[in-house]
Amino acid sequence: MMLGLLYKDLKVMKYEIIMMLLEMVVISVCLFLPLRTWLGEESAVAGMAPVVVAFAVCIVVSLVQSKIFSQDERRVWAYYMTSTPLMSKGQVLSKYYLSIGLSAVAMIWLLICDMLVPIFTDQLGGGSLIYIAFFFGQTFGRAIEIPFVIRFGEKNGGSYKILFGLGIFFLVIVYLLFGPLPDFSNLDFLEKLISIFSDAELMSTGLLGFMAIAPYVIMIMYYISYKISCKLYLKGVDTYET
Amino acid sequence: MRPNEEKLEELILGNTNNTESKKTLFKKVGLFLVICLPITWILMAVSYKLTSDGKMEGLATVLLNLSMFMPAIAGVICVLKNKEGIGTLKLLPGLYKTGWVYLVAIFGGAALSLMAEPFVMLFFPEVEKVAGGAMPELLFNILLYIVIGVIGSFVTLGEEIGWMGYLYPKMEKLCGVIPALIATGLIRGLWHVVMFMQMDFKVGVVGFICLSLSNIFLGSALVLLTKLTNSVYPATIVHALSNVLPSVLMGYLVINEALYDKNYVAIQFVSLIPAVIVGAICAVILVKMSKKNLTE
Repeated sequence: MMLGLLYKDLKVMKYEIIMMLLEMVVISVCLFLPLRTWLGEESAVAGMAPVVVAFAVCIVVSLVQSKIFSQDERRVWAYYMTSTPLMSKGQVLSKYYLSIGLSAVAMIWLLICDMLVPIFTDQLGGGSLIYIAFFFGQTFGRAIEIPFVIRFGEKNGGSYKILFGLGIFFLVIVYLLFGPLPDFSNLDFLEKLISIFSDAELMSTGLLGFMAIAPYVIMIMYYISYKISCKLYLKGVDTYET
Repeated sequence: MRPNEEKLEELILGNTNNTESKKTLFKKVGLFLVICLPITWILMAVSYKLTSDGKMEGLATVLLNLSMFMPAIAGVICVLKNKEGIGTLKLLPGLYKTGWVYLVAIFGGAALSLMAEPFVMLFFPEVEKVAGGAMPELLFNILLYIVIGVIGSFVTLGEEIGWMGYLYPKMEKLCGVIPALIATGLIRGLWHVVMFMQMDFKVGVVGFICLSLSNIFLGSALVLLTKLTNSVYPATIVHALSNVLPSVLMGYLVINEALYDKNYVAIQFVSLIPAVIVGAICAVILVKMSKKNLTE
């Protein structure tokens, strides 16, 4: 039945997904190749080509991902799904699979383009790690956003997410202005911090550690986000108009 | 049902029944091998020739990558010709209530890929050891390359669709679990033969034998993962990790080259020990599953 839910979502969003795929092809052909071939590999702008392409593709995919939930924002459908063997967990899980699946398709397409670059130019693609980083960045964003969309609906979920972020920012500012601050007279801590940033080898190991651990943390966050969304699903159903 | 939907259902499910004769199965396997092996060998040979001549390296890379997808292409051609249905290739991820299998594939596959060198260090302590002070960077690189291996596993998907999706199920119906594992492993080794022909004779022969043995034993783990999810993706992930991770570890080892060359053959066979242990356990489980299916 999970397969049926995914098939239903793909069928309903057929045109949006086809447009997304076409836009990805156009972006990678019309943006990446000219940037790398006309400007030459040594140019700083050409070096930014993978970042520009990844950013553009991420925006295209995000626009489609934002429409995943609006199709099923119907009380009748939500209560029907809750009565099936998969229950609301299956409905939420199918959305999470579709969301990460769309990001994965975009990333795989960019990686394939990266592998094909040597055919059209004398240069290597060089963007693999950037595309993987954007995939996990997008997954991180989805992990935070989806529970808000499920609880408050697609129209209001984005607004509540921004309010939540502003709320956290406000609390941090209040703490920094009025809360107890660490004892800066202890210079050992500051000296150690400065030595980390000034030691290139330590910085590169630290950066490598961050790159190695971040994907696992983000996937755990995505799973926790799914669990939170399962709890919030039926509460969110009450906000649907029909 | 509308005509389009009927055609789609026939394309996915096919219209053959499960009771095929051994002669039919033999013909299907033969057709698959006739399509897959020679074309792969030609593509690989042309790619290596272009690379060694230093010409059209981009095209050489594309031909090599295309050869990696030949088992999948051969599998698709065979299912379409025999009207078996694309669905029989186990292309769907099978993610409902099988998440634990994927976690086993990722972390178990990573552990299995990295276990070979510790066994070599255990039996030949003078030959290899980990470079001093390299542990934090090594661990971070292993974690990073696990991610890269999982994401890059779409490259090995081309092989596993052919081997796990098409060839092994046919071989199992033809001759049973253990002979099918041995035959599939040998065919997988034979598929790589052009690669070994580029190497020194001793390295090539030993490499071919060890790869075939590794494919036989590791193949049983891949088959078990495929049967648990009814999907080729876990096997794809394990295959990708076994390609990527050993070279990461090798970069952090201090190797005594003279002793390594002297004990080369023994080292290659010792590095198979983890695959043999895991493979034997998985083969026993597969035989028990097969007997249970027959009695049910």
